[in-house]
Amino acid sequence: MKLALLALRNLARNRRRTAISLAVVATGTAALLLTAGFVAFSFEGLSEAMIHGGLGHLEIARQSATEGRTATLERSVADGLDDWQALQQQVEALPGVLAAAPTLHVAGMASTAAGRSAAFLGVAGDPVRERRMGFTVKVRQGVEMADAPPREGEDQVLLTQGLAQTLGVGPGDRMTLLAVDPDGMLNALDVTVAGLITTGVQELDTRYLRLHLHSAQRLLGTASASNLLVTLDRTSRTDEALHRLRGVLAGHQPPLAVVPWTERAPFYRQVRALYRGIFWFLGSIVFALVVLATSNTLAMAVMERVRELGTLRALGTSIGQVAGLVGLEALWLGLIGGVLGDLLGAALIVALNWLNISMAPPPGAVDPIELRVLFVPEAFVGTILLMLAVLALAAVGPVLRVARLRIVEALAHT
Amino acid sequence: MSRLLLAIVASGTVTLSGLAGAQVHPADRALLAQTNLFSTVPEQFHARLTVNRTDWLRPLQAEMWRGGRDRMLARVLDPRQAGRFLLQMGAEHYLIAPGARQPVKLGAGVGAAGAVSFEQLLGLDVERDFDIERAEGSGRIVTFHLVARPDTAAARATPRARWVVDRTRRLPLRVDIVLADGRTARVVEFADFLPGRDRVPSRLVLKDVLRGGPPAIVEIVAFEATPVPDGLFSLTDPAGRAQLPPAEKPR
Repeated sequence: MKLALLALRNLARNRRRTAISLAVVATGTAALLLTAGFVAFSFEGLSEAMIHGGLGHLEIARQSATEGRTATLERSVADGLDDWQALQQQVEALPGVLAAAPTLHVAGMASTAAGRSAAFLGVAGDPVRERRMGFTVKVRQGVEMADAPPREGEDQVLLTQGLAQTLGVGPGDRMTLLAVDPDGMLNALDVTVAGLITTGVQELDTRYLRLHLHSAQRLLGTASASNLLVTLDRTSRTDEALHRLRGVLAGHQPPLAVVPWTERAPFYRQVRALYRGIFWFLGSIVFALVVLATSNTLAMAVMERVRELGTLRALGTSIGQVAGLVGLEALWLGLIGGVLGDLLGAALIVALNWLNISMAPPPGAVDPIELRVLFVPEAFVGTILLMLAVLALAAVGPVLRVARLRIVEALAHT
Repeated sequence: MSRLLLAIVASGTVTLSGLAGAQVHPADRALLAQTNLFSTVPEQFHARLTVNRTDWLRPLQAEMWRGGRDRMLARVLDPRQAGRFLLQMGAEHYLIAPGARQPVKLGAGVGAAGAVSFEQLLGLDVERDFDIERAEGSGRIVTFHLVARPDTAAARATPRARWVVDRTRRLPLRVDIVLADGRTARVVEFADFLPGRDRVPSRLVLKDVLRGGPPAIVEIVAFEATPVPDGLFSLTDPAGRAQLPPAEKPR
C-alpha cells in the first residue's frame, strides 16, 4: 500500500510529463468511448428502424416458404398460412407479445390509364395492428391508408415516391395492379393512390408499395397470409420469445418456422460486421498509440531517476520493490487517465448530442441521419480496464531496465 | 399455367401473305402452306382443352373462342377464376378481371412470355409472318428454317423457327421456337390430330428447352366450329361475356 502511495506521489514530481501521459491516455479512452457510443447508436437505430419499419421481431411462416429464403420480402402466397387468424390469437396470448399481424406479399405489374407500367413489390397488412406494433410508415404526400377493410372498388395503395414517379401518379389517382394468384393465373385490381411514402432505402423506393390485407387477398384470390409478424415489448426478449414460440408451434401442420428479425435483415448483419471491423481497427490504433507514447514517457522517467533508484537499492530496497514502484506508477497513469478519459468522453457525448448534428444519408438511404452517441456503461468500465492493461504493457520495458540496474553503476550515473 | 393462357390469347395476329424466300422451290412453298394450321383451323370456333404436367397437382381446364383471325378469348374453367378472361385483339393482349373496370392491356413482354403461345399451339402462321430462309429434306421429313418478318407481332415472340413437316401426310410434326441468338427456346410437338378433321391438332407436347422441367401436355377435348358472337370480344361492353355460363369445371 505504501509502495502504491509512493508511486502516486512520484507522479506528482514531474507534473508536466505526467500531464502529457494522462492526456494521451484520457484522449485515447474518450476516443474509444465515442466510437463505442456511435456504434451502439448505429446498431440500435438500425435495428429498431428495421423492426418497426416492417420486419417485426419474429416472423412465423410455413417452413417450406422459409427454407433457404429467410431474407426476403417475396414469400410465395402458395406457401401461405391458411389458419393465420387462429395462429394470431395463439401468439398474441403469449407474454411479452405486443401484437401479431398478418402480411401478404404481392409481386406484379402496376399500370396506369396513360399506358405507363412498372414492376412492383407489395406488402399488404392490417393498418390497425401494425400501429399497435409500432410500425411506422413515412408518408411524404397524401394520407395513410384507411384502417377499415376496403369495400370492393375502394381499394387503396401507398406508393413509394420512386414508383409513383415512374408511373406518373400522385395521391387520388387511379391505377391497376396485375399479379399472379396462387394458381398461377393473372388477376387485376383497380386501386386509388392514397399517399406517397418512403421506405428509407433508395432501391426499394423504386418498386415498393403497401396495401390493405383485404385488397391484396382480393387481388390474389386468397384468404391466406404470407406470414405473421410478431413484435415484442422489448427487443432484448427476442431470443426468449423465439424459443417459446418454437415450442408452442412445434406440432403445427404444416410445419411452421419462426425466424428472428436478424436472419431476415442481412443488411443489418453486414453493417454490424463492418462497424465491428472499424471499431477494432480504431481500437488497435489507439492501443498502439497509447502504448508507444506512455512507454516512452515511462522509459524517460526511469532514465532520469537512475541515481535515485540506485540509492534506493543501496539503502536495501529490493529489486522487486523498485521495479514494482515503476510498474505501479504506470498503473496509476492508466487508472487516472482512464477515469479522466471517461469524464472527458461523457462530456463530449453530452456536447455532441446537444449539438443535434445531422449527417448525410448513408449509401442507399433516403433521409439524413441525426448524429447521436449513446452512453455504453460497459464501455466506460472496459476502457479503464483496457488502459490499465495498456499501461502495464507499456511498463514492461522500463521495469526490466530497473531490474537490471547495478547499484554501483547507478550511483555513478550522470 | 397463366403463361399458357396468355400465350393462348396470342392467337390470331395473322393473315395470309406471300412468302418472300425467292430461292425456295414452289413445291416446298405449297407444302408449307398446306401445313399451316393457322389457315386450316376454322376462324370461328369454340374449344375446351386440358393442360397437364407431371409436376402439377391437377390439370388445368380451359376453354377458348376464336372469333376471326385476330380475335381470341380464353378462360380457365374454375369457379375461383370466375370473371377473368384473356383477350387478344390483333397484336394486343388484355386481361379482363372483375376487380378492374377496364380490360388491362398486357405488355408485349407479358403477352409473349411463357412456354407456349397460341401461335405455337396451332402452329405459327408460317405464311404471313415468316420468310423461308431455307428448306431441308430428309426422306419424307422436311424442315423449313423460318425468319420472322420485321415489325410483326411474331418477330417479338418468335424471331426464328424451324417448322418440321411430314411431306407424305402433309401435316406439321414439330415447331422449334428459336431465339435471335440461335438458341432453341421451346419445342411444340403436334402429337395427334382430331379425327375427321385433317389439320386441327388434338394433342400437343410443349417442351421448355431453356428452363427445362417436364413437358406440358395439351389435349383439345372438345372442338366445335361455330359462329362466335362479336360481344365476347368487346373491350368496352362486358355484357356479351356476362351471358356465358359460369366457369365451372366440366364433370
